Amino acid sequence: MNAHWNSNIGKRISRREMLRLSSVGFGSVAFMSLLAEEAEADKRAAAPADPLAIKPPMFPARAKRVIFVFLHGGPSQVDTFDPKPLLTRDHGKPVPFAKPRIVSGATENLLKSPWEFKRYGKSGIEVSDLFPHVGGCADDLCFINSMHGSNSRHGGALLELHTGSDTFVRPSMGSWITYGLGTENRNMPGFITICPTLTHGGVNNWSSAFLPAAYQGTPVGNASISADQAKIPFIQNAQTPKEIQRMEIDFLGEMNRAELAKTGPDHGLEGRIDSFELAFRMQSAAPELQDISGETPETLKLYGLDDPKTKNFGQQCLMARRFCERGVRFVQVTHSYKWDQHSDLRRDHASNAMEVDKPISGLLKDLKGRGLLKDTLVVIGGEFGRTPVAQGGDGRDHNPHAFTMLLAGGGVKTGFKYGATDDYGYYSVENKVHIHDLHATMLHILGMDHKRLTYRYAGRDFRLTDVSGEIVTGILG
Amino acid sequence: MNLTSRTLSPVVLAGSALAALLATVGLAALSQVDPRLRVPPTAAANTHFENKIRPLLAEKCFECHSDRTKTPQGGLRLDSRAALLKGGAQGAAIVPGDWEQSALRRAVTHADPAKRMPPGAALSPVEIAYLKEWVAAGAPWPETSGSKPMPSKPTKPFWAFVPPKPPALPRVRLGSWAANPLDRFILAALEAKGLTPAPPADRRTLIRRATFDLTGLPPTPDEVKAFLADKQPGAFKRVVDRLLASPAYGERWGRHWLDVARYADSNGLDENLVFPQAWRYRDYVVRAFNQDKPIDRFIREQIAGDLLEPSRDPGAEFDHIIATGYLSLGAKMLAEDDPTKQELDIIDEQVDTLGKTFLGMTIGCARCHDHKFDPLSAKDYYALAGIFKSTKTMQNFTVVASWQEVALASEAERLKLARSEADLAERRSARSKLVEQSTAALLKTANQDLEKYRLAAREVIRLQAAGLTLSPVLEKASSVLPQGARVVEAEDYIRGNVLKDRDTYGKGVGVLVNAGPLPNVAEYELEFAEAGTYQLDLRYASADDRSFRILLNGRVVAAKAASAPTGGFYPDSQKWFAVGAFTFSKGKNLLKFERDSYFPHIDKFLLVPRMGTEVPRTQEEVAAEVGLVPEFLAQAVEAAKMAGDGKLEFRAPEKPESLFPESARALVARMDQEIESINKGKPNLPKAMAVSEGKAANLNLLLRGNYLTPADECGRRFPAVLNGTQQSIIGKGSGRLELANWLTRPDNALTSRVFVNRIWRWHFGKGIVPSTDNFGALGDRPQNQPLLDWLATSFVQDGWQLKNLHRRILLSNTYQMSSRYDAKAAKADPENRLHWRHERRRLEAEAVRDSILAVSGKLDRTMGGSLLNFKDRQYVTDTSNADPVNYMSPRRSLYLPVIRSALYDVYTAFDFGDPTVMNGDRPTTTIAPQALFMMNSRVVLESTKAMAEGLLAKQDLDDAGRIRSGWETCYGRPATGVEVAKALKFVLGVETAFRNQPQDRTKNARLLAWQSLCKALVSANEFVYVE
Repeated sequence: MNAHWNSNIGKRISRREMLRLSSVGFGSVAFMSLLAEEAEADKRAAAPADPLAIKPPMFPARAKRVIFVFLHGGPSQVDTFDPKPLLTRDHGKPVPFAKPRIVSGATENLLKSPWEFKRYGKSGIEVSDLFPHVGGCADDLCFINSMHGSNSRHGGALLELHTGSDTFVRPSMGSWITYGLGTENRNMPGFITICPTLTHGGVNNWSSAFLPAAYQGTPVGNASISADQAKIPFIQNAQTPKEIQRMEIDFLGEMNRAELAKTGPDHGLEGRIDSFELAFRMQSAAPELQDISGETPETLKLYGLDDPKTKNFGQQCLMARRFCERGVRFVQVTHSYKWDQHSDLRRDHASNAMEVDKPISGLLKDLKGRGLLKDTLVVIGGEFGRTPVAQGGDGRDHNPHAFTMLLAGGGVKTGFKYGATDDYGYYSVENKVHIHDLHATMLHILGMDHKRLTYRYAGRDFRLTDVSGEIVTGILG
Repeated sequence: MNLTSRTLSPVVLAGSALAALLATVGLAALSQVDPRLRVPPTAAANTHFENKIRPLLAEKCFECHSDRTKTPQGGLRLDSRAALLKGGAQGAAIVPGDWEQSALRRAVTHADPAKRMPPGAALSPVEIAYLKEWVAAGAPWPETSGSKPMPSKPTKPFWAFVPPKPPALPRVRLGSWAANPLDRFILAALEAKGLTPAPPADRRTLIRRATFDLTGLPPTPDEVKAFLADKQPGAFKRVVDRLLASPAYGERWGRHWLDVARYADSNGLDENLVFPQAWRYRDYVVRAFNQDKPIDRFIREQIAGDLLEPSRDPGAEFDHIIATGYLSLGAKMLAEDDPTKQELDIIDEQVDTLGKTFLGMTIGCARCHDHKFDPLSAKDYYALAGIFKSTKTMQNFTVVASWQEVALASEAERLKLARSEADLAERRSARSKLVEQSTAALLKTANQDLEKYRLAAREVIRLQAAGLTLSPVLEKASSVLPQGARVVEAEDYIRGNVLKDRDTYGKGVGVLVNAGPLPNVAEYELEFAEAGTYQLDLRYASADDRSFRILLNGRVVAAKAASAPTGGFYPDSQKWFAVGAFTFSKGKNLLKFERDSYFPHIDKFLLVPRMGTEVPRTQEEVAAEVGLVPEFLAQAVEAAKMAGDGKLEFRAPEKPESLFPESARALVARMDQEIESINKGKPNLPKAMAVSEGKAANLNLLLRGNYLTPADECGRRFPAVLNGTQQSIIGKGSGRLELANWLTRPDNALTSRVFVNRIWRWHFGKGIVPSTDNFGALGDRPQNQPLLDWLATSFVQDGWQLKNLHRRILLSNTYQMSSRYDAKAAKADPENRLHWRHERRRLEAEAVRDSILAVSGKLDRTMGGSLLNFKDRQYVTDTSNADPVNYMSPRRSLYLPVIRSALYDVYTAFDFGDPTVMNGDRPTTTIAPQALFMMNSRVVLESTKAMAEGLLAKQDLDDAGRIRSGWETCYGRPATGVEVAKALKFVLGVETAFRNQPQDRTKNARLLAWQSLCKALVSANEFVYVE
């Protein structure tokens, strides 16, 4: 057990010391920005019980931060990353075993994938023609083909994926992770979600529920706003120039300190004085972080920002890298509710994949090139998969019994496939990975024991994985 | 109060780390068990048993080896220590202290292939290690925590389960300080620690404190002045009485109650439907507090109001119905595919919320297993849950499910409504029958024409293959308009029901947008000198498929024009698409666009004359030539491409009505008219979310909470630990009335205590039992139980009159202490648990916003009603609806809709909490988004602008006078000379800075500078903290 975990959260730990202790290195850019912020971090660590102060992991971590690329709607596994030759062979025939007890709608016979699969890289992993760019990154990816969840509706499945519960309101995984580790850049929130969806649980997918508000996800825009227009709430106002706002805050500080002199020591009042200074810094930091004008044309191209089809999602992915680079603990990007092809699979899966394929590969390549991939865990996938049987001729129904998640970075095995579905891709059958298991594994990679990362609320110690969750050791390198 | 400790819970972290440490030590010690570890059940051993062993046995063994089954496998039961020692057919299951010799070891380690336990997946090595540790330690089995049967005589009953008795008044040294018994209890506790109470607060502080506390608003300068001037005895009592009598009291305290009632105006969770009637419950609560409705009645109404005599007060005749909305307001998984699970989850939410709200008991924890810490068994849970199983909360459990709404009207009116609804149902069913028959006929005809369709499909495919398909003429920016072509702006329709937008979706270009009435229609008159073939190109923007029909001279020429999304709804997403080439007649032609839902944003269309030997034709034209239905031809083409001449089976189009023969179309239209007219004539009765009696039924105990594994039936009754083991089972009716009466019985150990503790919490910021919603073993113990019991018993004796309880508290010297800092007391009691001073508190989210509006003069004090602007059961949020509600209303925050899953961002920033779960103890955190709100939000900017304008408009004051006025309004005190001087200097400095800014700001520099001052005034700690 790491001794730090027992100690007061606000304990002073020099960043340099942490860096030395840590078994995982930093990317050079992150390293420089870290050193530059060290004085600030030390000052912060000394402050009384700051909820976002850095907390050391429970044991040496493989990754320090997470990027979750969420493809909302339920991408089809058998059309993307889980090739099924028998499905092609038996196209049009009935599925030779029982369909699930609980389904969301009537389905028909087996439907082969309209896309070809090709082998990529040294690993020779098969990826469909929907994802040629991601396929090109196969040697950096770990494909978990045996994912499964419990809920066959978008709302329940989104909540389950984001919070571990499809029944109750629970903290989001980003909140748990920020609660467990704090954040490395106090000029920014620790948990950011870029253009999140407002349906299917909405804010509950990034809320801290009963965890303190400091751990809630901060939305940058939402699904109805394009990535280049997305902003943090209240981050700016149009009428007050920066230097006048500085005067306002100085005057306010003076008033507050005069009052504090009358009242005597009070943590609440002192904390509030600091919060205005922090807000002022955040106000400068956030737009600067979102400003991509300093990125090279090569980088922009890498993410597909030069193409109107990939521009929006590419910008989300690029922002994710920028946030991570500056110490944001958990960043989510969302390709909003598009992947729900009950019909028109051929047309719409193609256009969806087109929008995300290049941006995702750009993100992976860029992280790798900057040395960030080794201590950033990237998780890519949807809330469930789709049925190998047809719905409405050219569509597929929801299927929580089998889907694929892609992992990269954070010391997971690369060029590696884990688990398997049955011959048609209907059920996960081999080395099954439940969403709870994925959560347990994510926390493990971040150096936390999912059974010990708990919070007492209403008489119970809650955790992200509820009463389940097994670490998927088979994917750890 | 010390907020940071709650924010962080280092105690919890340390606690969990400690538990982990224990577990680790236990594992490390396994190989060689130190006899010293074999202790009788200690707290640590209990924890180990309850956390690790009992759940493990329950999960893996009890199904076959406990009283859950009438015939335990092998005669072996594992649900008590005695049973383990007695063993089954094979002998004792364990040898306490000796794991190696225990039969349990052989079974779970699969030592003997014939006796592998449990069947199915083996236990994990860690689980086996836990069992080993436990047996090695002597298999301690704590009997007091939830094991069945309940211990009839626990050695020392848990404090919370013993009904409160009026405690004796303690002796105190400083007797003169105590204004009432409450003070004596506080003083006794302080004196025991050698502390003394802080001196009384001054009058300005006191009126500010009481006004915020009772109304959630700051006192006006006049109110402050009047109180300062009142030199007669009882001046503060008069202030308190005035505040308790003001309507703002109910708004403030009703809102507190809404926190524990998890009030919201939308469902949240998976399907975020609006609760259009929830506000009636909110207004009922405000009324109840303002009327000083006895709290026992208030509680009974919320649980079983429909079974009580209605109130005779005018305007309150339906309050007893509305009150039961409490049970219905929870968030529900409305799209749960499994209706049984859905129903059980809804019941669980009711039991869980009710248990915490009224009893401070986490009964919900006993759904899957006996409560791990409190003496609540799973049987207790299902006995209580049966009451709600027997209650009708929902209209149905389909996907998407509907909750019940009850009409608030007389019997006669409700009867009339029921008749109209039956009538409507009948006509709707007749209509769908007709549509069904006509569709069948349509399909029959199509199937008879199968060969024609195949032929036409081949023709379409040939045309496509021959490249006789069209591409838009103006595809490239460099394209020039060909000779003879004409461009028609979409806005130039001669008839239509759509709007012409030139500001948003059509900024700079002008497009058509939906105006409300459906179907969307636009018609154009086009005159040609000669008949001829023209290609039709369309330019539009749409983020999704909004394909529409095009009719030329009354004939459908394109069934699905504009089906391709362009990537967005704004002009930068506009694109050209070719629709087809059509033959226009000489003279006038009528071109009609029509869609059952919203149009895409159509900018314009283009007609280009076509030359050439073979004229390209569209699918629709081919269909028209041979008299086929375009929709079916499209299907035939699709099928031919997939399967050649193979299988072709027509499917009914989604909206087939337009394809029906004239006579059927007319009939459908007439039916629609009739339905519409009955709908209009239907009495529009107000409705409320409310429950009613359902079919009385018991629930079975469900193993692990799963209804696929039911066990014994649990008769409806109340928890044994609170109501004894000898209860009669509820027979007739749901049992809600019995539950309501039982909760409010004077000898109920918890209800009155939990309630007065909530009131204390809302007055002082911390409960006497700090965990307001959990009085169980894992909750906190009362800091001062005699005080709690005195408050509870005197409250009940007084007839549950809440305003009297407020008076008892506010008129005490405890309440009237100042917040003065005292280093000695701070050292002895840093969290001020003993109340050596009045705790300084930050305003809650609503009070922050309301106070800013109040001091700016903008606050609208209208009471009640709904600010929602949604149709019944409409989705509040969807992918494109980011700000479902306009929160800029100047009404009190209480009346702003509470939208789950898309909470008002001011609430999110200021600890409003998640309205999906009840919460009687909002936290107070200090986070940067709150500061950003003060610096940049529209609420603050607009309010402070109004405030600055108000100050500048005071012609009788100079600038120093204006500053003094601002201080009086915001802080209820005069500004000091230093403050005035500094503020003057600040205003001048900011004004100069604005004058140095470019253009428009310069001319407003003075107003902007005063606004900056007002921003500082409302942002200051003195404004948002109450002493």
